[in-house]
Amino acid sequence: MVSVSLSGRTANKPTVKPTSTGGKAMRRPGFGWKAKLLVLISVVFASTLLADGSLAAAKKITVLCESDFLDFRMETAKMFEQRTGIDVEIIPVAYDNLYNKIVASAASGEAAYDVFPLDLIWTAQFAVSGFVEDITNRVPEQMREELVKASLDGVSYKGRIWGLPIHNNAKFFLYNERILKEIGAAPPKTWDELVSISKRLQQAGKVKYGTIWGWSQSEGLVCDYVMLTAAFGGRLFSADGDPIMNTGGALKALEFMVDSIYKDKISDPASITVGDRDMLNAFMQGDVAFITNWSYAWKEVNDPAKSRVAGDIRIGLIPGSENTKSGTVMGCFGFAIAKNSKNKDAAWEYLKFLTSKDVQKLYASKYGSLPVWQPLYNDPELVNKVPAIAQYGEQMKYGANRPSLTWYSEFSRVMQIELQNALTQKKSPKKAMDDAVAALKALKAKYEK
Amino acid sequence: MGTNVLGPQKKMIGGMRSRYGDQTLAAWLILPSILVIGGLLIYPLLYNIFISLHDFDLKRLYLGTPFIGLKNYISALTSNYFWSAVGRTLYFTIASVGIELILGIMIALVLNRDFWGRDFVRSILLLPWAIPTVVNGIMWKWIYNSNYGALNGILKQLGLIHSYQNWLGHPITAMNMVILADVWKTTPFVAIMILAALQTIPDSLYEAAQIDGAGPWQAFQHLTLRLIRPSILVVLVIRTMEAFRVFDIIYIITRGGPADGTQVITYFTYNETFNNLNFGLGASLAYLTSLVILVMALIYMKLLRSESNY
Repeated sequence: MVSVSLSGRTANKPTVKPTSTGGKAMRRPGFGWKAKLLVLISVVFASTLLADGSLAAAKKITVLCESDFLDFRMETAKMFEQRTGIDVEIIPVAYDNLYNKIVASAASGEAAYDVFPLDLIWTAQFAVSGFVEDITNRVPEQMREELVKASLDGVSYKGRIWGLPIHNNAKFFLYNERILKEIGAAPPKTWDELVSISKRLQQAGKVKYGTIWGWSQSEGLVCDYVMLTAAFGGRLFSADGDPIMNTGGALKALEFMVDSIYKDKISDPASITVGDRDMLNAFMQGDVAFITNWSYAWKEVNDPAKSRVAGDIRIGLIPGSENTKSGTVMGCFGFAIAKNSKNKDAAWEYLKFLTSKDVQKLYASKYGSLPVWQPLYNDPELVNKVPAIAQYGEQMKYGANRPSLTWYSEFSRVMQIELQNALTQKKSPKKAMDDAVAALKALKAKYEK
Repeated sequence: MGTNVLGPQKKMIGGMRSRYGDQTLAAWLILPSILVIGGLLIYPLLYNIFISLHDFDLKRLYLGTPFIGLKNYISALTSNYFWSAVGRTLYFTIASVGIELILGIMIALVLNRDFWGRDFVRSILLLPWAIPTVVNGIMWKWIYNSNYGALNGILKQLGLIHSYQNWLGHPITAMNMVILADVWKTTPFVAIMILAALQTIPDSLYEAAQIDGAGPWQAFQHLTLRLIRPSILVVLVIRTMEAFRVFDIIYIITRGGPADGTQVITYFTYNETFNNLNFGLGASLAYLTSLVILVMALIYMKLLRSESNY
């Protein structure tokens, strides 16, 4: 408005002689006015930033978490806010993106998150890198005794505790009972049986493929390999900690994986490109009869809004081999306090709250998670509500852990590449695992001097 | 009346001028931007050099971060992973930019003709370019899906394939599929740039060529191609540098897999830095990449300069 009337006046005044000064005179007041406004705006902006920061520090914590079990996280965040008056901001991301987010936040001086997840494979690395707060002194003695040992081990490194376990996890075997009944088959007890049943199902046109896996180049591939190695009675590392996956059951496991795609053709070839969350889609469409997946999957496959097979699915023991009954991989998850957090006490309250027995009961009964307290597995009320909890307990007896290494991420990367070299038939399983062993030996020499 | 109003104003302005000279005022106004650029660009660049010369491995912080000279650069340059990543990056760059350029020129030539609905076609052409890379990546990931993907559906219905293919399941096909997705998104950009150049060529030149007895192909070769050469060069500069730094589309579609088949140099750098937490090596890799791009930029600048003389 102002500039319009001014320029109008200049145009109507031919008497103003030098147009250049006239122009300047016109612009100058605007300039000063704008500069002042600019300063004002920046001052206001800066002060709101400061005020926001100092207020937020008092009673708000930011929690990074994986997007599985999101409903549970929102519900408990609300409960926690009501009980303590501390606001919780939940930032959910897909599992595969968690690690990068944590590292980016922890490696910088400023904490983007006060609390973040601690997968058991990260504990050693985060502890050594100084990303997480040592909470050993905060954890009471009684808690240490009653927690499931595997869960507590998952958040411990070198005798110190770096986080509190939030849920236990392991891979479980899910099968479509309706489809199996149609051809009169019983759930398989060994992987060989699974292959032959799958072939029958495929021939009868009941399914596209017997099974599908999440074998894209990601951590899920390593998990499945550890699981199958356990099921085939093998080991990745010798008792002395030397890599030995080029021999015995570990090699057999990889041979099984490759054969299931190319020789027996019972695994969907898409397995090489999908992650262990995406693969659930094929199962929920009824395109495959068997899968293994983490505990969160139970609720997903039984959700009629997402799944066409809701109600047809049963949990069984993961198949074994000649000399093993079963085998699975453990995936205990905890929460840790960021070393660079400014709200450590509030964060600790949140951790304690999530681990507390009543929250764990809610988590197990309503959301199908596995509690971190040993006594809860025999809790009559819980077993009554969630009969599957007994089956979960049985499966976890055959659990194998991924190695606890400060250089786990490099281990995982080598394994992902070499497993995929075999799965895409760039190398034979034996050659791929020989190369993995050579690469891992070099890494071990570098990091474990 | 007008002069009465302007008079005092002028005086005031004169006063302001003596207190804050143009230079000082300008300096004060520029200061915030300098601070921002300095803090966000120059400081990190220098700090990155510092990191790249130290053993900055977060997995081994207990060893401290000793100065190790050029060791990070040497270990990068002697690593097989590095050179195969460079090879893949070059393949990606040459293939995607080459196809984009040829397609882009062809599309631009068509759009430069007069035909009914040309404006409409011109505007929808820009659609892929307007889609964010991440969205584009997710979209193509679904198109390539080996069970439910549109590509499999179309090819099967046309009878070109007899069973669904696992497009992203093999290292080499996966790379080609990522290139296709990139070509789809970026060709419009090339086409629009070339089209702009084509529109500056006056019709009279073509008439003159016709009178001189030049056929359509000769006119294209000696006239069109010559005159749009500077634009082609500009597009080439922008696109090669972008393609060399490709990251997001690979992160979304393949995550560097399968079996490292789409592990380009930036993804390798990212992996070393944020997955293996070897910030020293990551920093040196970043500098090596920048160096290659800098060399490319210098060559291109030289080419462009000689072009403008012509």
